[in-house]
Amino acid sequence: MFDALINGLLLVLQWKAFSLMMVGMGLGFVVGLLPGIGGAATLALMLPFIFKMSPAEAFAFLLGMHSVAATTGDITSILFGVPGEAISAATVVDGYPMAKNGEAGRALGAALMSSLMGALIGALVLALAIPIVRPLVLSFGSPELLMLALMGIACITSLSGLGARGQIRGFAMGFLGLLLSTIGQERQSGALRFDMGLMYLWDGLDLVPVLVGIFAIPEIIDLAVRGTAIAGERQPENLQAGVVEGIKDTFRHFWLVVRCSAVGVFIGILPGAGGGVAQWVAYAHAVQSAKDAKDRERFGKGDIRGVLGPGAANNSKEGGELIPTVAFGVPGGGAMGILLGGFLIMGLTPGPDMLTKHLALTFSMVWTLAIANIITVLLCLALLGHLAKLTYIRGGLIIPFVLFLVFVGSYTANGQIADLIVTFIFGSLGYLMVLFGWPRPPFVLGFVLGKLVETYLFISVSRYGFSWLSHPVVLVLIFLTGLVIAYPFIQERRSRKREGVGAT
Amino acid sequence: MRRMWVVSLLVSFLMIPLVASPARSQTNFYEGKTVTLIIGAKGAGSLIAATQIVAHHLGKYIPGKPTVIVQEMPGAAHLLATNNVFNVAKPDGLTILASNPNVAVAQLAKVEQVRFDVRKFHWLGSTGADGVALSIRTDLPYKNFEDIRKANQDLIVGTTGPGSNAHDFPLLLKEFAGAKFKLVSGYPSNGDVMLALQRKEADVWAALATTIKLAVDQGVVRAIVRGRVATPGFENLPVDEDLATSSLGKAIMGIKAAPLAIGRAFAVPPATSADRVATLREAFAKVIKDPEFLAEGKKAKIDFNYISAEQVLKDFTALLNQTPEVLKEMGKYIKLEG
Amino acid sequence: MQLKLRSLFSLSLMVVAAYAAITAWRWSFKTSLFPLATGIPLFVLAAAQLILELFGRDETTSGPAVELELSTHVDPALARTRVAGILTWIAGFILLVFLVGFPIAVPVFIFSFLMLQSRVGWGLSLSLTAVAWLCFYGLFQWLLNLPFEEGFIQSLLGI
Repeated sequence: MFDALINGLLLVLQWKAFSLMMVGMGLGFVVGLLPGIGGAATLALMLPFIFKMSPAEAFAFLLGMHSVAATTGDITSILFGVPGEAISAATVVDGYPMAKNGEAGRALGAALMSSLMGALIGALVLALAIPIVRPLVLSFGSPELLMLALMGIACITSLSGLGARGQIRGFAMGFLGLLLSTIGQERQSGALRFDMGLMYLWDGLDLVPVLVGIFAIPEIIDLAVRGTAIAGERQPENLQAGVVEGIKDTFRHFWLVVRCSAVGVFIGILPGAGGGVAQWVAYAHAVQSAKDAKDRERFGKGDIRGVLGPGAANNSKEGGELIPTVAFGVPGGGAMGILLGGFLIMGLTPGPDMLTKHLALTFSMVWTLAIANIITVLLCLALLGHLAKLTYIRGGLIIPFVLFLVFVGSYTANGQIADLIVTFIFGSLGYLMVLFGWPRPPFVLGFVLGKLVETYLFISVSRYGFSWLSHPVVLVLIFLTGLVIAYPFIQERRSRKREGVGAT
Repeated sequence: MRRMWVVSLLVSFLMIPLVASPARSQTNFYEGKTVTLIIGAKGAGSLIAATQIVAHHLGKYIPGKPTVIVQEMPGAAHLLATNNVFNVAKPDGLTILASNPNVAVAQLAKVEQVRFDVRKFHWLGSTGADGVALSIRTDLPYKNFEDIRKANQDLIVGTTGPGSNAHDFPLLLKEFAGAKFKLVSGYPSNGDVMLALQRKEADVWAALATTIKLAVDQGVVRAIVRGRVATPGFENLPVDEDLATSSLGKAIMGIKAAPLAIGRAFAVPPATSADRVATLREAFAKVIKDPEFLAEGKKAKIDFNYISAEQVLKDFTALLNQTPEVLKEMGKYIKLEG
Repeated sequence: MQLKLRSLFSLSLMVVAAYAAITAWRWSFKTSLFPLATGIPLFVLAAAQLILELFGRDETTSGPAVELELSTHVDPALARTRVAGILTWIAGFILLVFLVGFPIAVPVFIFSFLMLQSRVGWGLSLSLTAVAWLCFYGLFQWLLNLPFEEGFIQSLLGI
C-alpha cells in the first residue's frame, strides 16, 4: 500500500495532470464564488472535456475543481451573506455578521484555514480508511442510516433559540422543512404529493433555489434597508492583519476544528446521509461546545467558532464522500454522482478494484484533494485582504451584482424560470422568518434530511419489521441522538445551578 | 428628466436583438452553429454517458462541422425534455432530443402531462438497445428461475421505485410468472441497491444488463432472467416473456420491453424540414461506424449498435397498438419513474 | 402592528399545515404517513406559538436563535419602504428574465438599478454594467456554455 501512496503522488505531480489540476482549480475558484452554481452543475459541464484525458488527469481536473469550489464557497457566504455553494449556508450564519462588524478579513482567514485543515484531515482519513472502508460502510444498513438522519434532525435543538418559545419555533421550522420535502413523487408508490398540477414540482423542490433564496434574499433586503456598505459606516481596518488573526484563531480552537472535520468526514462517508447537513451538524456541535448559555448567545452574532466549524466540515466531507463513491459506486452527494459518470467514461468500475488494482489512482485523488487545497489557500491568502475590501463598497453598488449572481446561480439548477420564482418565494419566506424570529437552520435540516428519513424508515420497516430497533449500532445511535437532543437543556440546568451557587 | 434618458436608452438597447437578427445563409447552414442534444436526465448514468460520446463525435459528420453539446433538462421522468423538444424547440435542426423511449409508455397510459406523440417526431435512429437482467446474490442457493418459483420464503428485491427497471421487471415476474418476491422500494439509486445486496439487506436486484454485468463480473450476483433484448453474456438466460403464465402478462412485459429494444433513440421536432432531417440521419448512420466513437463506447462498456430511423418508428407504432384489456390492466403495474 | 404581522405569520403556518394534513388524509397509508406526521405537529406548534404571542408574556430570553439579526437602527417606516422597493426590483428582474431572457435582462437590470435606484453617474453605471455583462458572457456563455432559455418576447416574435 505504501508504494501505491507514492505512485499516487507521482501521478498527480506529472506535468499534464498537474496543470490540468491547476486549470480545474481556477475554474473551481470562480465557480465556488458564484452563488448556487456549485460543484454538481459545473462538474457535469466539464465531463465532455475529460474524454481525451487519462484517468489520473481527468480526476486531477475534476477533483481539483470540486475541492476548491468547496473552499471558496465560504468567501461569498462571509462577504455577502450569500451561500457560494448552496450547501455552504452554515458559514453565513456567523461569517456574515462578522463582515457586518467589520471583521471580514478575520472571518475569511479563519474560514480558509479551517477549510484547509478540514481538507487535509479529510484526505488523511480517506487514506487511512482505505483498508477498513468496506466493512465500515457495509455495517451501516438502512436502519443505521435512518438513525443518523434522525440524529442530524435532533441537532435542531441546538440550533434553535433558547427557552421554550425558541424551541417551539425551531421545531416548527424543522417540521415545515420536513413537510416541504414531501412535495413531489413519493418513492414507494410513485404517487404525486402536493404537486399542485405543476410538472415542475414532480421531482419536488430543488435544493439550490430554495437554499439560495432563503439565505441570500433576506441579507440583500437587509442591505437595501440599511443603505450602507455591508460593513456599515466603518472605516476599512487593516484587513491583512484581520486575515492573520483569523488564521491564528484556527489554531486557538484547534480541537474544535479537528472535531468538526471528523464530523464532516463521517457524514460524508455514509452513503446518502445527506452531505449537505455536514456543516450544519458541525455548526450545532460548535454551538454545543459553548461553555454556557451566555457564551451560546454569541453565536449568530459573529462568533469565530461559527465560521471555523462549518468551514472545516465543508471540506473534510469531500474526502469522506469520495469513499462510498470510489469503493462502492454509491454517490455520497450530487457532485459525486457526476464523478461516477466520469468513472464510466474512463472505463473504470468503482468497487473493490479501485482499492486494489487501481489503488494508486485512488491515492492520486487523495493527493489532489490535499494539494489543490493547500495551493488554493496559499494563493487566496494574498487575495483575501482585497476581497474583504468589497464589504466597504456602498450597498447600492453591490446589490445588483449580487442579485444577478444569485439568480443566475439558482437558474442553473434546472434551467427553468420557475427556479427564479422559487428563489423569490423562499427569499420572502426567509425574510419573514428572520423578521419574526423563526430560525432558518432547522428548516434546512428538515428539508435536506426529510427524503432520507422517509426513505430509510420505509425500507427499514419493510425489510425488518421492527426488529431493526434492536440492532447494536442502532441502539448506540438512539442513545447519541437522545444526548444531542438533551444537551442544550442539560447545559442550561448546569449553568443555572452554577449561577445559583455563585449567588450564595 | 434623468429617468426619461435612462428609459429611452434602455428601450433602444432592447431593440437591438429585434433589429440584428442574423441573415440566414443558405449554403452550409450548420457552419459555426451549435447543435444541442437535450436529455431528460441529470447526473450520471449510461444514457448520459452514451449521449456525451455521441456529442463528442457527431459534429464530424454534419456538413459545416458544428459544435455539439449536451444539455440536461431533467424533470418528470424525461417528459419535460420530450415535451420541450416536441413543442417549444425551434425546428431548425439544431435541437435534437436524446430520448428515453419509456416516454412512449407514458403516452400509452395517457398520462396527463404528455404533450407529444412519439409517432410524429422525426426519428434519426438509435445508438443501440439495452437489455434488462434480474440477478440474485451469489451466496444464496437459488440457481435458476425454477428455484425462485419454488422458494419457501419470499426473496427480498431491492428497488429504486415504481417505474424503474429495478421495480417493474421483478414486479411483473412476481405477478405473472409466480416468482416469490417481496419488493422493498425506495433506495435512492442503483448503487444503493447493490450496497444493500452486499450488506445482505436485499437478495435480488434487476437493472439494465450493462449494470448487472458489472456486478456479475465482480462476483456479487449471478444473473437469472433477462428481458427481450439479448446482450453479450446473457444470451442464454430465459426471457421473462417466455416465463409468463398468461397472455396478459406477456403483453404487459412486452410493453415494458419495447422501449428497451428501441434503445437510445434521437429525434428532432415534427416541423423540421426534410433536408435537415436527412442530413442528420446520415450523420447518425455514419458516426456509429466511427472507430474512435466505438472505442470510447467500449471504454465506457456501452454497446453501440445502429438501429435505423424506420425501425424505431415501426417499433413505436407497434408499442402504441395495444388491446383495450391490456390498456386497462397495465395501469396497475406500470407507473412513471420518479 | 408588529405583533399583528407576527401573528399573521404563525396563522399562515397553521393554514399551510392544515391544508397539507387535510389533503394527505385521503391518501393511502404509506403516502400520507410523512405529510401527516410532519403537518400535524407543525399545526400544533404554530398554534402554540400563536397563543403565546397573543396571550402570553412578552419574550425575555428570545435567545439568539443562532440567526441573522436585522438592523434595527433604521426608522421603521423608511425600512418598510426600502423593503417594498427592493422586493419590487427583484420581482421586476425575474419578469425581465421571463420576457427577454438572461443575456439581455442582466445588463438592463444592472444598468437601471444603478442609475435609478442607487443614483450612480452615467459613466460608472455604464462601465459597471459592461463589466457585469462581460463576466456573464465570458463565464457563463462562452466558457461554461450554460444554456439560457430565450425570453417570451423573443419566442413571440420568432427570433
